[in-house]
Formats: sequence, C-alpha cells, structure tokens
Amino acid sequence: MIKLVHKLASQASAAILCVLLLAASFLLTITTQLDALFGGYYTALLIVNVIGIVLLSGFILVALIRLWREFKERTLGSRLTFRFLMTSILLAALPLIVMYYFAVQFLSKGIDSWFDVRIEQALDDALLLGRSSIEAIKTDLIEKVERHALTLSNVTDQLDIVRLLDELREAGQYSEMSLYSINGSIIASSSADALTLLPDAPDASVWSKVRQGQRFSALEPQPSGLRLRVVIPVLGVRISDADRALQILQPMPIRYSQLGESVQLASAEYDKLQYLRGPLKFSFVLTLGLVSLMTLLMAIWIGIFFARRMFAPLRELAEGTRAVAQGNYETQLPVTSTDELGVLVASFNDMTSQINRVQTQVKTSQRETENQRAYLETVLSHLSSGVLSFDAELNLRTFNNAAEQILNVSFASLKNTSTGHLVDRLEWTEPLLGLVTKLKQSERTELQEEIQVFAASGRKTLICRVTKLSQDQGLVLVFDDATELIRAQRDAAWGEVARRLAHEIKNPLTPIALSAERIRHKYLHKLEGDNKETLDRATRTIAQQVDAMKEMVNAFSSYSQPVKMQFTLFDLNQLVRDVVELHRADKTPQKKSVFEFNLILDDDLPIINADPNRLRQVLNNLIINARDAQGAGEKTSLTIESRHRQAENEIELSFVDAGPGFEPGMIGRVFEPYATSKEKGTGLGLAIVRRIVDEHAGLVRASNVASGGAKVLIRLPINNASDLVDNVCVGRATSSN
Amino acid sequence: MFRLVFLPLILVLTSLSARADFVITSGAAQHINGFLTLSATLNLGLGNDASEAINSGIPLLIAVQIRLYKKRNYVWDQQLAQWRINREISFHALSGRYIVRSLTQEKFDSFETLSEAATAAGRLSLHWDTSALELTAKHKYDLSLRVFPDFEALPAPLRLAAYLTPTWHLGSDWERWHLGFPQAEAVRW
Repeated sequence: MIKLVHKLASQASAAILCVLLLAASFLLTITTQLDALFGGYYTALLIVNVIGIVLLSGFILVALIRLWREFKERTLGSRLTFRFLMTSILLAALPLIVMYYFAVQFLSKGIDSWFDVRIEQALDDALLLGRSSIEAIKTDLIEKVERHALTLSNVTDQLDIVRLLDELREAGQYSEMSLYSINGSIIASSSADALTLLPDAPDASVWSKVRQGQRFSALEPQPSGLRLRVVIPVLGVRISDADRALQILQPMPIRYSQLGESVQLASAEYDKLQYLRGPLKFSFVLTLGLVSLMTLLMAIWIGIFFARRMFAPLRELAEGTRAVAQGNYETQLPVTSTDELGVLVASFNDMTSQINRVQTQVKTSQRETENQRAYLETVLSHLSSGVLSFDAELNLRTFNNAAEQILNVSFASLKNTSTGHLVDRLEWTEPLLGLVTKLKQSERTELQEEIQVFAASGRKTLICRVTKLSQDQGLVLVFDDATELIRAQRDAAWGEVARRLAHEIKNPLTPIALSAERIRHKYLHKLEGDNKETLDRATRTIAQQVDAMKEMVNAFSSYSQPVKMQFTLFDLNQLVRDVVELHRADKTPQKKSVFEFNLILDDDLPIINADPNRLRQVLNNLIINARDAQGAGEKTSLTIESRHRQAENEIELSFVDAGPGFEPGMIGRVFEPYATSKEKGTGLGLAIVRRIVDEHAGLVRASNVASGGAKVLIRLPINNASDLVDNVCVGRATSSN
Repeated sequence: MFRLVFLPLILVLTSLSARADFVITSGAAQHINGFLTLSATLNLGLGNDASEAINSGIPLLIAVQIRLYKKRNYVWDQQLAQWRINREISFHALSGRYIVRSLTQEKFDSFETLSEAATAAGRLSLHWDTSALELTAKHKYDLSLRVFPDFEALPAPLRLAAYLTPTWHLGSDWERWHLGFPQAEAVRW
C-alpha cells in the first residue's frame, strides 16, 4: 500500500512538474514575444525554466543510472526497456534537433530581415529633415533674439526693462523671456504662465558659453513637447554698463512638435531594435533552446515512464516464470491492464493456479504414499517372517529385517538386483529365488513350498509363499525359518527314541549279561578244546556287546533326561586345566597318537556362575571329539582359548583342532543326535554339548578354520543363576564356516 | 549562429576593459522638524555598454535605495524605513540631448552630453516626512544608500546580457552614515 502511494505520488509529482515546466516554457515564449506585457517576469521565468531543466535532468539522470544498473545486472526486462528508451530518445531527439536548427535559422534570418538599409536611411533622412526644419525656426528665433538684445542694450531702467520684456514676449509669442546679469542673477523676467514664480534659468554649461560672448540655442524636449531655448549676451552700450544675457524660451508649434516626436520615436525605436538585434537573437535562440531542451527532457522522462510502465508486466511475467521454474507455483501477478499483456498475465496466473493445484494434489498423494510406505515398512520390519518383493522384471525392490536375519544376508547393497544376479552372487539362494522365477513363469497367482537352503549359517528349512501382485506389479516372497521348529521336533523325537531305548533296551541287557555270565560260569570249565574256546569267546562277546549297549543306552538316557542344574561359582580356567590334565594323563594303549594341548587362557577371566559338572562333560566331549576326529599316529593338537567379552558379559571358549575339519554338508547338523562321520560312537557327543550349553543359555557353533581343522565356539553368560533358570530352555546353537 | 552562441562570452570579454562603477562621493543627512533631508552626490560612471545602450535609444533606469536604521547596542540595528528613488537617463535623437527624468519627483531635464546628464542624475537632494517614525535625538540612527542600474527595466533581450556581463554590474556598495539632528551639525563624509 505504501509502495503504491509512493508510486502514485511520484507519478503525480512528475506530471505536475511537467505541466509546470510546460507552462513556464509557454510563458517564457510569450514573454520573449510580448515584452511589454510580460517583460517584468522574463528573468524569473528564465530562472524557473533553468531550475526546471536542472531538476528534470537530475530526475532523468537518476532514472537512467538505475536503468543502466539494471541493464548491467541483466535484470529481466531491463534490456527491452533500455532499447525502447533509446529508440524513443532517438525518435524524439532527431526531429527536435532538425526543427531547432531550422527554427534558429529562420529566427536569425527573420530578425535580420527586420532591418533594411533603405528604411534606416529613410529614418535618418526624416530625422535630418526634422532637425533642418527646427534649425530654420531656431535661426529665425536667434535673429529675433539678437534684435531684442540690441533693443535691450540701451535700456537700463528696471521698470523699462520689465515693460519692454512684456511687450517683446507678447509680440513674439514667447513662453518666457528673461534678462540675467552675466554672473547669472536674474534682472527681469516675463512669462506667459502667470503662475511661474521663477524663470527657467540656463544651466552652468550655457553660462560658460555666454560669458565667452557666444550665443546658445538648443531644442529642448519637455514633457509637454519641444521648445527652443536661446540665450544671447547683451553687451552694454556704455563702458559702465555691465554685460547681460537675454534668454528666450519658445515652445515649438504643436504640429512641429508632434511630427518631430513621431520621427524621433520611430528613429529611436529603430536604433533600439538595431542595437538589440544580437541580444534579441540570443534571447530567441535561448528561449527556443530552453523549450527544445525541456521538450527533449520531457520526452525522455515520459519515455522512461512509459517504458517502465509498458514493460513492467513483461518483467513481472519473466520473474514469475523464473519463480515457477524454481518451483514456486503460488506466483500470481497483478493484472493491471486489459490489453494483450493483461490477457497474457491472466493466462499466466491461470496456468500457475492449475499447476499449483496439481502440485498440491501430487504432494498430497506422495505424502499418503509415503505414509503407507512407512506403515508398510514398519509392519514388515516387525514381522518375524522374511519378506522379499520383486518388480515385474524380478528385480529386488524391498526386503525386511527378518529376511536378512533368516538368510544372514545384507540386502541393502543388492536392492534393484535381478534374481538372476542374486543367484549368481549367492548360489545357495537358488532354491528360494527359483520359486519366484517359477511363479513368474506360471499362470498361477500363488505358490507355497517348503525348501531347504544351505546358507552360510548352515542348512535352513524355509516355508515359502510367493504371491503375484495385481496388475503385474511384481511378486512378493514371504518365508518363515522352520529350521528351529523342525530341529525341536527332531530333538523331541530323538528324546522319545532315547527314552524308549533306555526303557526298552536297558532292561533286558542285565538278564542277558547275567545269563551269559551264568552260562560261562556253569559250562566253561566243563568243556574242552574248541568248544571251550568258542564258549569263552561267545560269552565274552555277549558281555562286551551288552556293556557297549549299556553305554549307548546310558548315553541316550543322559541325552533324553532333563538334568537338574546345580549352579555354583567357579573358575572356568581352572576347570579347563583340570580336564586337560586328566586327558594328558590318559595314556591308554589305543591312544597311540601324540595329542598336544595349547591353552591360551585369559588371566582376567571372571568367576562364572554355572554347573561345573555339566561343563566338565562339555569339555570332555569336545576334547574326545577332537581327538577322535584326528587320525591315529599323527601329531595332533587342540588349542583351547578362553576370553572375557566384557561388552556382552560373556565368557568365550574356543576349541580349534588340527584335524580335517567338519564335512561341509555336516556343519549345519553337527549338533544333531546321530550326526557323526565316525565309525564308532553314539553320535550324541556334540548333541549333548549343545544341550548343556543351551541349558546355560549359551551359544555354541561349529565351523572350519581356513588353515584346516575344526573350530567349536562356546559363549557362556556370566550372569547369576536366576537368569539362567529362566533361560534354561532357550538355548541357542548355530554353526558357520 | 556562432555569434549567437558565444554572445555572452564575447560580451564578457569585450566589456572587461571598459569597466566603470557607480560611486557615492559625498552625502549628508539630517532630521529637521519631522523631515529627513538627504543630500548626496553620486558619480555615475556608466561605461561603454551602458553608454552605448543609452545612445541607441534604450533608457537606463538608475535606482537609488535608501534605508533608515535605528542603532541598537546588543542586537542588530532595526530597519525603520526604506525608500527607492528612480532616475532615468535617455537619449532624445531629434534634439540630440540626454534627458534625465526623476520618476518619483517628476523632474525633467535635458543635457547636451551624457556625462552632464549622469552628473545631474547623480545629484540627490531629497526630503521625506518622517514624523510617523518619531525619530528623537535620544537615539542614534543610520542612513544607508546604494545606487545601481535596474536591469529589470531593460528590454527583455538585453536583460540576460546585463545579468551575465560584468561591465553592466555598476552598482555601488552600501554607504552608511549617521543621521544628524537640528541641534547638531549634519555629519558629512
């Protein structure tokens, strides 16, 4: 609002100034032409015009500087404005300069044409004629005055003189007749005007002539007309008579006076004009120059005003376009006219309104989509099932945390990768991703299968469901890790088997053993030769096999029966040393190989709260397993390392042997019952290990080391017993390479 | 065209050599019975430009500006009154005489030469009724006077040249003297 008021005030002041300057120019022109009427205001008008021109020049200079700055800064519309202004100035200046030149020429010639030699000569001649006529009258008057002087020279009596002067004045029709002494004092005077008290005395220059004996005669202009003044010395007749002077004033005849004044005025006016010829030309040229300059300046100013006004919509339009290009779709320009530019601006406003409306809708849709996406991601991230989505070209688009955890793969770097490339990089995912390809190629909309993959973390049993999205938008693969579930089911089955074995097999073994012992005891000494030897071998075999079976049944029994844990605080390093010492001391004949123990035990290992007897069984099983895994007669070793993982508040025990390591296909199953590659043994050693570790809420995993050999890693929490009781059934067991 | 453009410059240069000024040579003022009497002699040196203009039939108006001040001790003087006397010198071509006309006193004299006319124009003998001003001998009064050609009375075309040309700038400075009263002898300077 303030800006609008300021703009209107500026325009109004500019218009008022223009009108005033035009008025001043007009008056100046009139003043130049009609000096008598406006002559008194000429200087003031000249100053007003000059001030106006200076002001106008200042305004224009400021406007031009601003325009030039905009031009240099490449402000939108400034070039067009500048070009238009230059064209306007050129169009205004060219005819004005031409007009000015010809006007000056015309004025100069016109003023010169006022003066003509013949006129001047005629005026001079007329003046000379007038002077000659007056001179003749004057000569005649001088002769008369001389005669009067002669008459008066003999008269010395005052009364006679006065009477004589009256007579002569009346006879000669003079206006005044006076007699003076030579020193200038009045002797007598006679005047036609009775009211005249003192005669009109001659001035000093006249007296100086008269005293020298000369006569004086002059035509004197008077307010009432022309008059002749003649002063003649009156010489004394006698020596004693003092010299005197006679003055006669005689007005010129009215007709003479009028004609003479007329000639004089015409001649004087002509002389004045001739004298003023130069200043007059200069005055006209100056006035014309000022008016022309003011016209030019006004044209420039009006040009600037209209250029700005004309190109303001274009400039605003360009700025609006730039704003739209920068994403500001709310730009609305003022429609200030109803012409084509106004229509263009209105169209621009409509366009930006529509774009803004569409943009708002798009943003709203995007926001809704983002919200839905975020909601979906939240749901997916909290799902326990793994979810992988693929687009129509089978490129991986989304995944959730569960998918990464189940498959132990980071999909972040594999996003937008096709299933083919995924299979190339992760070969073991072929059964999983093959389902996607399979459904894509089939007419079905859904596929559900249970598959097994051999991931880096071991064999995984996955229950998968692949669904085609509507409108061929892609496919979604949802899978659950059933490995633990299946293993739990298998463990339960094996537990049941072990329990039945213990129950159904162990009971007959004692009678069998007792019967075999009884037969041996009763009949061995009665037999001879080969029979005795056969019986001896048979009963011993029976006893051995029964022992073996008992051992196996006991193992199954210990695996199947839940054991009550007896937690106590003890030093795990010490337990390791005790068990190792026991095995070092074990030099049974069948243990022909040299088994070397390397103990790397952490001196800062804290006291652990665990069941030492159960952990002793773990150590025994792992040492026996390592020893059995290595070939006989070879120099083998087992490195046992303990470490305190402070951040996790755990103790880590690692067992690394120098044997051949686990078979690759067995790594995922080494902790399952009966999963063994040994010729002997129950196949329950590592299964029992895992069960005990599980009971301690620990973690065990098996892997092969790169340099050869197997590695079993156990992590046991140091926490108190209450935690362990709660977590006794939540064991963790994994395996990896 | 050339002359027109450079006319002011030419006028300036040519007139610098013939410079003349108006000078107030003498003056006396006294206050008698409520009347202020001023007698002054002004030397009106007209110079070539002004003389040429007069001889060409252009009347020259000579303005005499008079101001009466009341002297004050601690602040500036108080101006009580001011008067302006205009005298015109013109040339009468038919008689070949110069006319001096006092516009305020309606006096009309003619002279043979311009210098005589200027001398006559420069003789001032003026009287004003100042009884309304109530001037008293208890206070001190100053009378100041200056004389200058009135350019605004010149024909318009000549006015600009007169303003721009130094030889036309004939005006005198302000002259100032004390006003005498009947008891005291008029102060002369």
